[in-house]
Amino acid sequence: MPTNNTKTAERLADPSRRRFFRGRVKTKHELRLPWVINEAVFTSGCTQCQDCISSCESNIIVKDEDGFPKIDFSLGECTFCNKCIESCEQPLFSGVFTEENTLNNNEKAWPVTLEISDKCLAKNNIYCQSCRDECETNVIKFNYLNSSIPQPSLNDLDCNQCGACIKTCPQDAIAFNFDQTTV
Amino acid sequence: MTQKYHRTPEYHVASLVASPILAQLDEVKAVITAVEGAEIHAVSDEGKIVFTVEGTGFKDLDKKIDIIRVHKSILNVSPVYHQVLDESGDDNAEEQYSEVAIKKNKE
Amino acid sequence: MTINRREFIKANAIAAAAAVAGVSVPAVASNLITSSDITKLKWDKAACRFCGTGCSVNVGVMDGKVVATHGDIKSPVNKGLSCVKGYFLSKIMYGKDRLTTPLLRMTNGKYDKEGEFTPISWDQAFNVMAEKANDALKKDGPEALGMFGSGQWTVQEGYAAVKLMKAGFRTNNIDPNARHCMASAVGGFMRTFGIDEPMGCYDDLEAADAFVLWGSNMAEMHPILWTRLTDRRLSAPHVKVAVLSTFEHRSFDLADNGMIFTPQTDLAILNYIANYIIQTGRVNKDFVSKHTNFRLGETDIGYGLRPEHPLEQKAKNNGKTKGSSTPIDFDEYAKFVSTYTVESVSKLSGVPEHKLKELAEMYADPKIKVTSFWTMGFNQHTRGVWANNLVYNIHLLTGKISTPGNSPFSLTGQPSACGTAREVGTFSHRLPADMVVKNPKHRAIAEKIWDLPEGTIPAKPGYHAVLQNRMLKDGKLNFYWVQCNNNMQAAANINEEVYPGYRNPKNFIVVSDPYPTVTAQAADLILPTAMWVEKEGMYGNAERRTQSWYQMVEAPEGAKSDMWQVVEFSKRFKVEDVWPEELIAKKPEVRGKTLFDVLYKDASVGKFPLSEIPEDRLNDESRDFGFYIQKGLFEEYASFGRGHAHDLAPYDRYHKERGLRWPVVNGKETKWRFKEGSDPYCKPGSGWDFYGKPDGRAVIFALPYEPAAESPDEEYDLWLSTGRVLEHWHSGSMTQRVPELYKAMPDALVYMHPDDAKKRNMRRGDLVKLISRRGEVQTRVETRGRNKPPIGLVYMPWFDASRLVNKVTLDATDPLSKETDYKKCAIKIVKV
Repeated sequence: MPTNNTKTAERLADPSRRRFFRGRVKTKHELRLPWVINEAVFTSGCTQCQDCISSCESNIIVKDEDGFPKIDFSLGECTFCNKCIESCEQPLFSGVFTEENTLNNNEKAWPVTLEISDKCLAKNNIYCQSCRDECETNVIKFNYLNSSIPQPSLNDLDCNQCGACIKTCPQDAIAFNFDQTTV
Repeated sequence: MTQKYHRTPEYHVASLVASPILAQLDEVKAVITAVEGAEIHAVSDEGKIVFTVEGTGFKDLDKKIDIIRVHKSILNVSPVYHQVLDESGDDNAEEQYSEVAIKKNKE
Repeated sequence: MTINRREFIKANAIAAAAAVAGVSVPAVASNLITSSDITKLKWDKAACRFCGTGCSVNVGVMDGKVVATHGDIKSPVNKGLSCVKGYFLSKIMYGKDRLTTPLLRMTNGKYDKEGEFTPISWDQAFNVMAEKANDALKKDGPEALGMFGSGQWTVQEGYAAVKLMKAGFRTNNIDPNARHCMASAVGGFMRTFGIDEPMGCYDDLEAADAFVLWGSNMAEMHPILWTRLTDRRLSAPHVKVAVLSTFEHRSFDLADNGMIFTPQTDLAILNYIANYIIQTGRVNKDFVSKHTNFRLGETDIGYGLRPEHPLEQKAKNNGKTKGSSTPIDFDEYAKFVSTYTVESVSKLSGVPEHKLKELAEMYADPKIKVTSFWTMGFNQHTRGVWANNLVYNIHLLTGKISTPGNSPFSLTGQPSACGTAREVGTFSHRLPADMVVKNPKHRAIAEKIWDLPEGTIPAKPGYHAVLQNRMLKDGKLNFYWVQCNNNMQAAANINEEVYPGYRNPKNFIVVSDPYPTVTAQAADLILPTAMWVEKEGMYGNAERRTQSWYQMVEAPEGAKSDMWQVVEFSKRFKVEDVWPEELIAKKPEVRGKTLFDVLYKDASVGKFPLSEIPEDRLNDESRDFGFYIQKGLFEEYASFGRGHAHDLAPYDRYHKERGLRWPVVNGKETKWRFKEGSDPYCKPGSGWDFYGKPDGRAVIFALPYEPAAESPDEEYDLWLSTGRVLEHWHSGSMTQRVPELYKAMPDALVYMHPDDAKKRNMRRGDLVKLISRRGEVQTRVETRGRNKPPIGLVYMPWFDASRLVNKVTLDATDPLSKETDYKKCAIKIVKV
């Protein structure tokens, strides 16, 4: 365990980090910055300098309880301006980021899938389509097929993970859930 | 790996449909609501009562349902749905768990 | 987390069992606490507080607070369903800034128009109100007093207010905000049928083969009726839906024939359809010859602006004759509409010819049962009454009226626009049961029922909504009481025509509201008001259904219902204070009595004892006044319409029913009016009987297309349309205080076409200014989302108190209905 500087030692006192190093997978997943290589690389490399937090144009990067930056989509959407990545001095990201181009093999920014839980009003036969407008890529569609209350459906392939739909849901029913295969 | 220190908390919920003797509908409803964790959600025009029972385990649930099942004004109770929720993965449970784990580690 | 997961699996469990038992269980509000608490919940029925659909909701009360609501399965209107607003209904009463004490503008302990709002007692509040009302009365007579009410008043509140103003203070200066909403529909009904309100009912939704939406975005504004429409559309494949609007909106999701037309050209489209029916030989000649008359209406009637406005100077017939018409025959009518050809109308409206033909054929085909719905697109229109007349023309030419599925159906925006504003007659020209103050016979009937001397009710119609604001500004209306609405946000042209009147030093403005709305903040005295189920009341919805509810919770201490405020205030006036000697001389026994005695306590309003209120029921007002006042007000009011085709059932029955559709004759409600067999008022053997007109015939009007009051030009190059959104109701004073609804739709954005944005170098989210000749408002650009305007038009909703779009709109009105056109004015947009 890298315990040779005091800052790291302090951070190690955090339970989540302790759990992580003891190989526990059952930790609460947070959404880190986009295109982070993985959680292990991120939490070991991040110095908690907070530059990304101040660089975010949507102000959606906040500190988690352990002091690491995370994205909070209840505050707004990610515009993929890459300013957080540019401001970061650590090698935490997959892909090549230049001012004009983002080369990351078309990989998604986070290993997550957008899901609408059963708290969704429409799924409970309450007429609501508030999330629909927010989606620029028309991932969230409302269909009248079987019910007079239109039901949401998701076309995950087109989701650019901007998260704009999350904050608008009156029921907090929309969330990014981590893919089962990723740790 | 540390052992789990406490039993996994479980949450059980079952939904049932009771067919009472219609004349005693109100009495039956009172019997059901008197059971702890039991709750009536709807009564059909024919008098069928839709209710749920919540509890902490199979035994607990069976005990509660039996109180209702044996009542003289009820013709039949059909169980429809039963689900168990393992709450060890929950935030709270996780928090307790990790605290225990830390203690253990310090030891 | 635990609770949510538990709730969710429990909901699954319930749903499964309910399916087995064959009952439907509505989704219970998720703010619904823990299971052990549920047993403590007391459920009761009430009409929803929001739109004119008139859904019934079950209201869950625990520990004196409304904690849950859900759609009422027993309701024939919503059948257990609810929309997102109705789902969060329980939260509207619990905003953090709920008012609980009267607030008066004061400096150094004294009233001062420029002072700060200072808490005072109710007694002090009524003292200063009485003083100001008396001052105005002495100085300029009853015409200096006015009241602005609402289609959200309960039936009893509206009736109590009408009686106080028209009989007590003897002024007709009382108007509801329904003037902004339904007045054109009323004008249409009165002109074509001679009697107000739709002939059909919501059962038409399950019977029609085709639906046409004229300026109505039902998918957002009447979502539950929309679910019934979609149910019909999905379960019967032959059913077609046509949607007409000046911009694309959510109702287009289901449109088989969606049409975007240039603003105001709906008039031409309507005449084209009539022309098509005639040209293709599909006039129902038997029906037309037996049940209709043809008339040519007056044209060039102006735009209801101030008389000095250039448009009014130019108009030829904006005087007294503007509503007049002359009889013509069928051939003259056919000739009149013959100029509205598919080519010319397509060019004018921008709607492709094949779409117009498809629409016209739907109406013309005798085998297709058509229901037309409209709301503000028709009503908020400088030719709103005409638009209403013209759609009736089509239904009358084809005989598609008053039978299941054949229905020209005017929807309403407010929960009791029909029940209170229209049926009670809280307008400046009306009395209950479709009577008007101008008619001496009608006044005599009202005076008889009210047991008041002849000549009590003034004959001259009072100031209507828009005129009230103008008269406040001009200093002619000096004591003004606003209840149950937010007109500083809702009225057009706020900067020039609304705010100046409220702040005119000559005027004293009282605003009753549960919350500090922009209107309340512009007032001199604010009265804290009890709302919805904090009082007993009744609403009447768009299909003539009257619904009642009991008081279920106490209002916050200090807040009082509108009805209590009106009735309590009447105690401050002796008859001698307000009536001239010659009137008192006709009925000397009123001398020395208060208006409270004469209008309420000693009138038939006061004859029902407290013992008629079920003992376990709250009823703060009745117990305060000493009699069952809601029942008394209702029964006295109902006596106006019984036997006159407006029959209402006895009061107590409404507490047992999910509403009844009037006329209720021999205990039975009426579904389709004017059709023999379904309407007991039709003459035997008549088939159809439009008994609102003396000869039993409805009128088909020849009326032309006339342009809008203001159209885009080189400088102000865009049309602006305003309106509502699904998540918020009207000015948002209730729904913006529900955190979940606020979150779902926090700010009013301006929806515009991406090309229009690009042309102005704007991106989605940019801060922009909307500027008209009258004012400006800042907001952000939205180029995607629910509304997709065509190039040249933008849409901005008006629910947002921080972005008042009505600073920009034009106060042009329909000269006949006096209803403002909120859908058309010219603006430009610049980047900030």
